[in-house]
Amino acid sequence: MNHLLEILLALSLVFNFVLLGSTRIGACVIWMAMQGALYSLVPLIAGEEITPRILVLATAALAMKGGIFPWLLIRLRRRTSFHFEVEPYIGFIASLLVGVCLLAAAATLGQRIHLTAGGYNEGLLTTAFFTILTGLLLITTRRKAVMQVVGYLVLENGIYLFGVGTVVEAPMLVELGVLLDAFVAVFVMSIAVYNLSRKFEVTDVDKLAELKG
Amino acid sequence: MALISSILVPASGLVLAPLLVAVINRVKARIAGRQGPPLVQPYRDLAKLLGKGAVYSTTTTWLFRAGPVVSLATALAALLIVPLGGVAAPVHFTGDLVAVAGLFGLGRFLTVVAALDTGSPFEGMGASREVTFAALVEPALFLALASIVATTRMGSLSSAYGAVDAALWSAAAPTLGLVAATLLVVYLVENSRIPVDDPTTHLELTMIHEVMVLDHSGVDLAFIEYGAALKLWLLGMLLVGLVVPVRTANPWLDGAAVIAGLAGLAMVVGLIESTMARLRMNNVPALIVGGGVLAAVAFVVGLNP
Amino acid sequence: MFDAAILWSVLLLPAIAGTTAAVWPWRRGAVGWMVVATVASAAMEGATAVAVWQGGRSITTAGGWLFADGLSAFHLAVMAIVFTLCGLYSLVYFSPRGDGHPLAPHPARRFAALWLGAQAAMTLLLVSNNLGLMWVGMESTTLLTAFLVSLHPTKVSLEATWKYLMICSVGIAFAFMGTLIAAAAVPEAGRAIAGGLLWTVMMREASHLDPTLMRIAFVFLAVGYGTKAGLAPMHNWLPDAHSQAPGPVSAMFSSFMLNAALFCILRYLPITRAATGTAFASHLLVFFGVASIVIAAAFILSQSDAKRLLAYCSVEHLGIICLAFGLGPLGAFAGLFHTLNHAVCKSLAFFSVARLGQRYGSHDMTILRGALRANRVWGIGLLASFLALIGVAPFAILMSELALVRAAVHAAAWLPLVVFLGGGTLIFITMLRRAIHMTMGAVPQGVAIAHDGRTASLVVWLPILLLLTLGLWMPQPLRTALQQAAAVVGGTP
Repeated sequence: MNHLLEILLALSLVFNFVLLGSTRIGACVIWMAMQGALYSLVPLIAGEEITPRILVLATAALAMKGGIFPWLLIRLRRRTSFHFEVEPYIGFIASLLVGVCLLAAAATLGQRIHLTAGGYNEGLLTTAFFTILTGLLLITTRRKAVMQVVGYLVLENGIYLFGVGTVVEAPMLVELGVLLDAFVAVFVMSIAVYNLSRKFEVTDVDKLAELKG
Repeated sequence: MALISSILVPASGLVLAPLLVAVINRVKARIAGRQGPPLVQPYRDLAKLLGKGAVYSTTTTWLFRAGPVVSLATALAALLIVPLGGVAAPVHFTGDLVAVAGLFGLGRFLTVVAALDTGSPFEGMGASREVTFAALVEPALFLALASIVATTRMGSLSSAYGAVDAALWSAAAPTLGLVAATLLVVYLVENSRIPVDDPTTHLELTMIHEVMVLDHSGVDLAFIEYGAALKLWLLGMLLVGLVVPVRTANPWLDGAAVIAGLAGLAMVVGLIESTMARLRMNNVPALIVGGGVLAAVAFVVGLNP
Repeated sequence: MFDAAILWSVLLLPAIAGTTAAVWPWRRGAVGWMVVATVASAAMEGATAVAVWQGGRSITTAGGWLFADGLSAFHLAVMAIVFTLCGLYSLVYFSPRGDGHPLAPHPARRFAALWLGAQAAMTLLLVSNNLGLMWVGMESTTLLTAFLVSLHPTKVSLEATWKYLMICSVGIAFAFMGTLIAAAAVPEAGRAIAGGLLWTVMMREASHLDPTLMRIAFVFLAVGYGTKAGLAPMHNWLPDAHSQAPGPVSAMFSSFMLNAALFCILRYLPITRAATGTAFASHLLVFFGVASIVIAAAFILSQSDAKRLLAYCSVEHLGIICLAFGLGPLGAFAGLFHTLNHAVCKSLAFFSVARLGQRYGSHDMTILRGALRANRVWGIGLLASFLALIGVAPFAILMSELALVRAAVHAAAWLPLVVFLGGGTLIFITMLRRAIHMTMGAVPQGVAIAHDGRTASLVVWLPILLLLTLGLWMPQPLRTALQQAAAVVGGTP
């Protein structure tokens, strides 16, 4: 296995925990972006040769995940809220401990699933699953709407890594479409959060509880 | 040859451990623009304390007297097990990492019990904090050592550290790097250094370790100070032995490299203490759990070679 | 050549029209443009469906990336009906006369652009042979429709938008995960031919797919697309979004968007069956179906808001359809027929409730009374659609539900049958009572009596006639179309 890839994956596992333990929204956005940037480099490192196709994809992913997404979110955070704290439903330490459990689950899953195709490794699958689970945990346990978007993007990061690890030969149009969709999703979510905050001064998700039953 | 070198491992610790404290203090003083005490100051302090008699409160029992003795004894016993980098310790057996952690635990238990024995509210508070953090730091230490053992596929600490060479570092860099980070956190927590605890603070309310030993004096205090220095050395060996993968066949060279590394570690600690503020007490668990998490990641990464 | 022309035009017509609406230069007329364009696109969709049925084969273009077979044709036809009705209804709902909620120039432009964009996205997912492209279509649908929910921005409508966006985005992310796993299940040999994720290739290779991976993939896909289809227990966004969206949007969501999500699951159903044996995928669908029926019944019992009631009713009906697809070939036929009936009927129900809601100023069923007096046409629409929804003869929903019962008996699926009948009975009683309360009796104080124009009558009577006709007699072309679509779901096109 590729050493550089291994270091990169270990680093991103740590990033997940940093995301779970960070108390500041801005910091979370930065870590999420750095993780995304790392993942967009994976195709360059994992493949035997660098084709123009891989180069284009990696550049596009890097620009989106490392540049545009965090820029949108930071701007959104600046415009919508005077609060910079993450405000979780469960404490940071509890988040970290749940994270350890999720890591164990992801490792088990990563070793169970055997992909018929080559070009994968267990470490990559484990990292991908763990990133997905981290994203879900962030979405479900953070009170600020911006943090839910961050969680969604972490989830997307994980899926991107999984995709890179499993189907290296998916058509380029589809992959670019997926990236574009993620971009539009962030964009649309930003507008929604912006509207919520400007019209009703709400960015806490638990204040959004009027519709029931 | 092997016998001599393995006897020299604990011997070097016995002699040089107080020097680590001196180096840390010297670095802090220099960064603060002071001259700082001479490097032999800890030895002088110990000698002075050993020459004094101890004062015991009438409310204390034998537990209070047992605390310093046991904490020094456990440190000495651990010194026999922990290797100096590639140089094997005199005592080694499969699973000895559990024994090392157990010895630390025993020493801490008696220190805490002695603190509670005084009946002083300050000491009780310190004991409570110590135990809280210990409960978090022990899994981290275990996971870190277990990751090393799992990565090297060796049973004892001496053989595992003997197998940590440059080749292993290039093969399993993420695991070892993460373990090293965990061990650094453990090092700072276990030795009550900034950012967890400030060994030089003068306000009892903010102390953790120092407040527990307020009532000890004379020989007892010397034992405690010396035991603390030994612990600084022991955990330093665990960290530096990993980070400095000098594994020549020559034990003198290996040992010297690790001791030089320990001096470097002392400087790093001095640097950390000079540049960082202490964390708020309620943020400390996050740091420790974070360290443990790194070890957990290391363990998982180590399982997926 | 013909194939290419028809597929590209069905796809591009709403897309171009939507772009035009986005840059609409005049202050007025955006909604009118949207109605014209949506009806024209619907006509194009109908033409595509007819082309497939006439030719008796699937049509394909763009190197096999776009194609329409029996299943797409049937859904295109349903889509054409729903969008035509919704388009006409928009004229009434947003009309400046009467009780309408006319849109200011800017929101009108946004509404028209997003609506047509959503239509294009749904067409894309129906005619794409590439499963990745299909996913892109579904995700785009979510993103484009999100702001249709909060067209009138209030706190609750934005809350509904947020839940809709967040839950569905995560759900569809899961579906993407499933798509990737399914792609990984294709053996090395098949990948070279596939050039990606072509459905036709995966169908051909279905028996060589890795069964374990395909199982995992199908779970992800069913949960992911199932979220978007409003299947319980992933339905939480649905009542909020449906109740807060403006009338035409609620109707379109409920009548077609949910089915479009289900369509994506249907694409994978034959592949999974061939790869893993029939039982696994069917059991999963039956589970989701039964869960949806049970949960919907529980919430309908205690519901006081008419639009939320209808939303839970959609959960129930999607559950019924999902259950049907889990019951083999007979069930597939019943499920598809039910899709059509439900689409027509639910459109009418949402039209009526939303329009009456405009008149009464509320969707609360304690206020919404005496609808037959307050506005005769919509009162009739409300009563007829409620009766049809709960399966009163001779409306067509009864027929498709009887077909489902037959399929269940044939498959010896007794437990789901009992749940279906039990839940259905509960919902029958509750909704019948609600319908009578809402339509009969005196009009509350302060609600004026009014009548809508000819368009309203058309939008009400057309679906009723359609439901009555289909309930009494099934035309041969429709039967053939349903059989073709069911054959695709069954894996034997």
